[in-house]
Amino acid sequence: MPDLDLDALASLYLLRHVPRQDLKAFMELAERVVLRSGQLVFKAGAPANHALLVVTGRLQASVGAGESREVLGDIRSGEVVGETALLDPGGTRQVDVRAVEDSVALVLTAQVLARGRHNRAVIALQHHLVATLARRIRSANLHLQQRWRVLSTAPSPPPELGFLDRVRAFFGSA
Amino acid sequence: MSDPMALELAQALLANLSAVGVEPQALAQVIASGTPRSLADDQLLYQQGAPSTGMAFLVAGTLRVERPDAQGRPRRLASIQAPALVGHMGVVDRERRSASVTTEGPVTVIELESRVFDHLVQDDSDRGFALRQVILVSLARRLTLANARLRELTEPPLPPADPSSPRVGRAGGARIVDEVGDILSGGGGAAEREACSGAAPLRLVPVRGQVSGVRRLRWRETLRQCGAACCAVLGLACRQPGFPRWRPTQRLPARRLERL
Repeated sequence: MPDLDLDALASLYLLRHVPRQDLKAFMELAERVVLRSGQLVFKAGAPANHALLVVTGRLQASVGAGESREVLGDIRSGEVVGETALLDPGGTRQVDVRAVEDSVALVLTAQVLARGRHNRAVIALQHHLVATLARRIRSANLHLQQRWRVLSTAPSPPPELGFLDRVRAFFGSA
Repeated sequence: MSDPMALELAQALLANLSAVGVEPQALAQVIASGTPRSLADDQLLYQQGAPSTGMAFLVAGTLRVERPDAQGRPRRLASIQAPALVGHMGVVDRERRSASVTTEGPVTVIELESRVFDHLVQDDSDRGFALRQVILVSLARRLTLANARLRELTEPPLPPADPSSPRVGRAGGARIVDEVGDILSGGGGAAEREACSGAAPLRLVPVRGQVSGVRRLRWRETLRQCGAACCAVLGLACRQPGFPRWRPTQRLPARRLERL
């Protein structure tokens, strides 16, 4: 079973400029979770109030179950999963997340960010989240615009028939 | 801007955004670093395609966000009411403005230039944390809303509701239960009073709805909603001034939003 040490945390790209003393303090702030390969980490529809920073291993996001299960992508070391729950708590998980390798992650909560507000690791994490969210919003907006274009050029549904129209239709008169 | 006014705005923003751990005083320091600006009705704040040279705190008034549709006509995407953050996407990712933002009535904003923003967002003091955190929470909400809209537009229509077995679905983090109910005449009633006000989009909104919600609204109608999450997700009647009231014409299932 993998463990978490300071070197593993320091090797993450997003924390590359963070002093080791801040990393050490960050490890004390954030709870560590060890995930076994195959373990369900987040279940779609479940309450969401924290995110995970994957330090080692690999997780996988998916929707559906059984034959209709569709893999959305992998979450590798140095990536954060479930961050909207961290920032806008009270919602639910949108997808299933499962460990596909033995993994170690740090649990990120709003309280961890608040308590570590002066910690360079937390600041680096905030910058990483800002960039990630901005990229995802641009992507979602792009998809929305494409969808709107399709819908705005689609024919409108027929107008509702008034009483006289229905009478005319019934009797077949023009 | 005076410190008491900045503090007042900071408190109002935090009440709206619920950014955990952010001290109002720290956010007030950020706001006080900006430059107040008053705009008249129908004045352009940001032009689509222009470089993003700053962001703004909306102190008072309403802004409308627009983009041209396929025919080149301006289409309203959203209305933003004070207190709120505006234009922060651009200063975060350095992209050009993705939509135009225009005033609706007199508006007061506090503008934060990119140079000031860059300095503050790197700051390891409380005010730096405050700015990063309110930006993050605002972006997270925006992403949730965009994803909910996208899901509503791309998912296949739901089957008609069966009165004997309520249909359960999800949208925008909400659990929605369709149940058959009486259609309101549009003149009042308990559910009518609880219809969307647009001011608090993520609250419980038990109101009437069409069988398939927003999917069965014609596109023109959808775009004329005020942009609040409840309308966008559920296709609900809108109470914002300037938006048409949606009057159902037949007996249809009402929707109950259990949780957002």
